Amino acid sequence: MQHDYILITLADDDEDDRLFFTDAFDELKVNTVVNTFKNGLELMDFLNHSETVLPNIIFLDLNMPILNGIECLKEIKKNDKFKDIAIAIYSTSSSEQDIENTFVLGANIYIKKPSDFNELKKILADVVIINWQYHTNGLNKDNFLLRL
Amino acid sequence: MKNLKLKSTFYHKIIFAISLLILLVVGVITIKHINSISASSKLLMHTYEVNLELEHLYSYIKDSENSIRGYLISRDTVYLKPYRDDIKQVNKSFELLQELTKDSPKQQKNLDFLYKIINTRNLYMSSYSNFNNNFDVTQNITFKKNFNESGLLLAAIRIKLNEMVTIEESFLKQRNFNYNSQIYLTPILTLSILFLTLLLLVFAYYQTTKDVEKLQAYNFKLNKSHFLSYQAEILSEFGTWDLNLNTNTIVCSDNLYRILGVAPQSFQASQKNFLKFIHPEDIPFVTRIFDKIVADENLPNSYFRIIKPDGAVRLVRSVGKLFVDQLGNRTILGVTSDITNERRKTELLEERNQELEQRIKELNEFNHVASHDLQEPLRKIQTFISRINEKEKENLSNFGIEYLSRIENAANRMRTLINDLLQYSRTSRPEKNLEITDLNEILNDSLTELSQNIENKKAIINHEILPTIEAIPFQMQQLFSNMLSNSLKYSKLTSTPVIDINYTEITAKNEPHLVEYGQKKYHKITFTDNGIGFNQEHADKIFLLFNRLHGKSEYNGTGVGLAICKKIAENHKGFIFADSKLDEGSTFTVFIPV
Repeated sequence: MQHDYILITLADDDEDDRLFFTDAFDELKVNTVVNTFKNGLELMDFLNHSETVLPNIIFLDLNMPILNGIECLKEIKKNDKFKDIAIAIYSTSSSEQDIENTFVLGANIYIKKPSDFNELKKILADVVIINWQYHTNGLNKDNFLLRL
Repeated sequence: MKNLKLKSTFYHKIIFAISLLILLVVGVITIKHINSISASSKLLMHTYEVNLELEHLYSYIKDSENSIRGYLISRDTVYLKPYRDDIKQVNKSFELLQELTKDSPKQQKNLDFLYKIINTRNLYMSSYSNFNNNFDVTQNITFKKNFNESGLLLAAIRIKLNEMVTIEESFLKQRNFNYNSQIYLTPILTLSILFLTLLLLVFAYYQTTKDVEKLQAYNFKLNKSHFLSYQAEILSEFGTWDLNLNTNTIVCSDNLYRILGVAPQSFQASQKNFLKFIHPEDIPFVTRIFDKIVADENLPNSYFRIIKPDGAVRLVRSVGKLFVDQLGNRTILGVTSDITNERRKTELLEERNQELEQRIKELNEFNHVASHDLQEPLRKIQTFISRINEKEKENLSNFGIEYLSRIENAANRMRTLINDLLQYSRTSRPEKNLEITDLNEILNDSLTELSQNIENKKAIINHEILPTIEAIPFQMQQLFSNMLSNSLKYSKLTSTPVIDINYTEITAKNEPHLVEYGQKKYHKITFTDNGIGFNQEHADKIFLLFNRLHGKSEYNGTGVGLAICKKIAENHKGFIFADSKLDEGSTFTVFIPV
């Protein structure tokens, strides 16, 4: 990695969720830079901007206005420029259909938003630090959905 | 049925032909016999006549002998007259005999011989009649010699005559024998032939009667089915028609007229008359149909509208098929039914279906709302609670901590409820196809899932070897987990919870709950626990959604778990029953069809 910190981007229309997300990373003792966007369109504008330094991981909420998570995922996977970015789905939904769809479209991991802040911290830590390599290398559907 | 009738008719024809032939033969034989009998009696008569005439001849010869002797003795010429008459009679009789025996050469020969003898003798006799009065017969040697000679000739005549009579009698004998044998044969032959004919006729009569009975039975059946179809036509609003392709005439059933809204047979059935009832927009179509029937000798399902005399527009359907009878008549037999009501019902049903689909869609949307949108704020409430618990607990008073804990409980309960409800609604949809499912694996998965709970309660779980069945695996898993966690939840605090899982394959009629399903086979899986049990009168109620027998504070639960179990059993076309005794434990029995 060319930076000594991990670049993390989140696209989520829910203000509270963005707050939890940034709070969790603040409390984690990991060197990260977190960017958040209110919807998919803002995220894509950011990614497509020529001066943008591309993030290492993008967290995508599925239900977003204007451009939703699935559409973002498709666009990102379409563009060769973004092929090294890991995609984590970050959603309230745990429907089989959403999990299946995002897996097929090439997301790297599926996280169901927990209802406990400590759990959230644990998951995000796992994703960023511990399990990341494992998930990107031996990707299969069994370990796609991250359960804690 | 048709073949049978044909066969019996064929039999009848043969029997009558044979009978006729036999009667003809009997007739011919009888005539022949009568002819030969009359011929025989003619011959008999003939023999008698010949014999009689021979006797006559002899007696005339004898009479002439007597007369001549009288003359010789008395010399009275009065005796000469009868003598001459007798000679004439002899000649006459001889002629008659010659006539009678002309068909027999043997007798003719005998007659010739006889003629010579008689002639010779007559010459002697005639010479006697020429003697005058003074001729002394006692002195004349020639006379004596002649007289003696003529006496010998008379004896010869007698012998010859007897010979001839014997011949005739032998003829008679022969003829009598022939006659008798014919007389004897004739009645036997005639009788036996007549008897045979009688037998054939009786057989034919028996067959005919049988056929008539059969025909009557068929006729009865036909009448019955005719009556039934008449009723059916009225009840089901259809009429039948019969279009003869050879004559192009149509015959219609009464109900077809009723469908058209007119009295039965109130007009002559014809294409032209029918077109009067057709909806103007459909007339070209129906005209085409008529042409097509004749061309194709078939009428596929055709729909068109009619207008009744009272103005009501009805939708009808017509269909017809070619029928060829024994005589080769080609007719199209068809059915026309009024399907207006049927169509209306279908339309109504389709409407309802659409409505139902709309409702299902709404329900799905609701599910989505429940699964996503309702959970979202709840999740945040819970996350905020966890944040306060972590960061701000020391700043709260005891009350604050107490209330926060209650808020947390309520939020957790809300989450459980939403999750259970979602599970229930997902269970409602048996969208997945059945798979071969090993229930032992399912049970193991459930035990793993509940391992913490089992360990906490120190429960003992015994189970038999379970079958492999066709099921929806995740629903079966849910069923097993729910059954086990239910037993664990309502276990007694005072004793070790024991859960027995047993399995047998049963026939429905042997199970009190399933008697009405007869011979059907079911997998029977029972979950028996030694928990707190419940009053048997609540056995049905516990499977209802949100139904709970206990307070929330004693045993937490949403009242959805057993409702899900029931739904799963029903999704598999199975059943679930509960048997329980308060304080002794419960048995849950699941039946899944084999």
